[in-house]
Amino acid sequence: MAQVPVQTIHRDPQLFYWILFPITIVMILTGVLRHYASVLMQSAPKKLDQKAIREQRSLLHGINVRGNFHALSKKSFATRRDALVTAFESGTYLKDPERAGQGQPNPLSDPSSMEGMMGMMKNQMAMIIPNTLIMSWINAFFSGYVIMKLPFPLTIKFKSMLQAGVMTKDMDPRWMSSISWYFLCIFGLQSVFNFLLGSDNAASQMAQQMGGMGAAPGAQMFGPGVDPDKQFKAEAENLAVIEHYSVLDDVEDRLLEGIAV
Amino acid sequence: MWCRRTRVECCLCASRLDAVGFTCHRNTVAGSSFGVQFWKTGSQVPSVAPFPVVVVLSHVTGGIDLCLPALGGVKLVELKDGSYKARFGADNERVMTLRGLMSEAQAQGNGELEAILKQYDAILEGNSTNIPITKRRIALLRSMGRVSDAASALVQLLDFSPTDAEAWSELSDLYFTQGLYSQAIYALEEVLLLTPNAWNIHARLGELQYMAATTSGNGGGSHGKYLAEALKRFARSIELCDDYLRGYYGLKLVTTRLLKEQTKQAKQTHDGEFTLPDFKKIERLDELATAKLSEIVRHSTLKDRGWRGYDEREVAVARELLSQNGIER
Repeated sequence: MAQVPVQTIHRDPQLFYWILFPITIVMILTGVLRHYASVLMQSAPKKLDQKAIREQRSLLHGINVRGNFHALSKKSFATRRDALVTAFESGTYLKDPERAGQGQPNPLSDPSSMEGMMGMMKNQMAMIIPNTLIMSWINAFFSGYVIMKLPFPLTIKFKSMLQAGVMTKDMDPRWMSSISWYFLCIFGLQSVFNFLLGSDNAASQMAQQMGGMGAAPGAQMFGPGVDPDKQFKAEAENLAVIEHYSVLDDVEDRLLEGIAV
Repeated sequence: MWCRRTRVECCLCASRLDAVGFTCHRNTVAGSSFGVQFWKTGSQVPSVAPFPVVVVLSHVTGGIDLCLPALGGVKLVELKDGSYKARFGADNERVMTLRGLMSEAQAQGNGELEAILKQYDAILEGNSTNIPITKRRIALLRSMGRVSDAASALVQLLDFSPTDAEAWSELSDLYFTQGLYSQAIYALEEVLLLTPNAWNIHARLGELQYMAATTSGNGGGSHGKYLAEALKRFARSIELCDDYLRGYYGLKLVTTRLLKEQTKQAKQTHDGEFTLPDFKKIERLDELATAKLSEIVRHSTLKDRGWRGYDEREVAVARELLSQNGIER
């Protein structure tokens, strides 16, 4: 098999200063800007009234009792269990006990949930608008030619990713177009933002996409559209089926075995 | 953070319990009066403030000094009124608490304290979920000697926020000072439900059980039950932290007492309660506690490497206990 001749393309060295640099700097600056914009736009978390706090924390208390029952003696666990199960089943801790059992409220009619959705919309917008702008800017000014050669070989599959906007069939995938550099920046600037803005910044889109998934459990638990009465009933059932043991049961045996003097 | 006039001590660590490695305590302090956020973002203060924190009033500057007992010495950090207000806003809950703390510290006589109490009531009227202010109010009530008011306010707080370890621990201490042992034990068990691996809380619970046993008298059936659980609590605290002086001290106390009473002990098994281990095991536990206590006392008296962190008063008390039992080395 004949050796594939190394492709050489003579590029203007100024490409480096007039395209690579500007794109990178603009990407970093927009990232920083987005971070501060989202910090400014962040609405303060809404204050819950006392009854809502009571509802949430009582449920958490039940979950805690279920999770850490082994720290208690059987008798003190049984007292707590009886009290909690009765209270949970009768709906003592509910925010509005009259509405118990009426099914979940419509999340769209609840103003508090609308606020949460607005917050999410804002975040999405802060991500989409600058990206669209930058991409159209790059497309308008820098599309249609390669700007650099990667220092390592790549397989043919990378062609569509790296040479977007360049319709040359036989070109080595190592050659990159400006729009590809833009994509690389989107995914690769995470650590730069971490360095500049701290680890909990709002600049990188990857974190935002992950955040959408990661924040789910906490939000779901007390989020809109969840019927607290059902949650309490389920928790009461969970508590009722616990078979109690205590860490204190054989602790002196474990201690005598474990500690050598 | 609960204050007695000019000195603030974290009820979970500084005053009665120790703080080494106890994560819950850090969290609850952060969640309480003015919290970690303040130090993190304030420019004058080191980014990681060591705990426990003692707040002392600075009469010279008119501001408040955060006294951070850092490694080896005491470091004073001064915070001017205004600098934090500009940073966090005057209606920030923690800033309100800090200002309340300052005026409490500056107050002369009971009349001014009453006025501050009224201010707190007014704040809570507008926003009943302001937990830091609620806690300040309770602490103020307690330091003014109105213990039962403080207790009922705490119970109210815990009714809508039952996952607050700091408040449960304070309630336990309140009940304890009034001699209501079973209530104090109940409240401390709630702390354990939130932080099941806190060995200092286990040991503290053991101490409460032991005190309940000693006051309930030998005749009652609860006496043996309390002692059995105290023994197990101390054992658990040692299991979690195997150089814990208070745990060994308590274990030694309980085993000594049990061995003394051994002849009188009738074997009784209540349903759902802990039973005492047999005589042999208690003896071995006693030996273990004695050996470990004398080891700790010896090493920390000689200031050996790796044995330094112990509180000198605690070591002294342990030495006294050992000499009472005639095991001075």
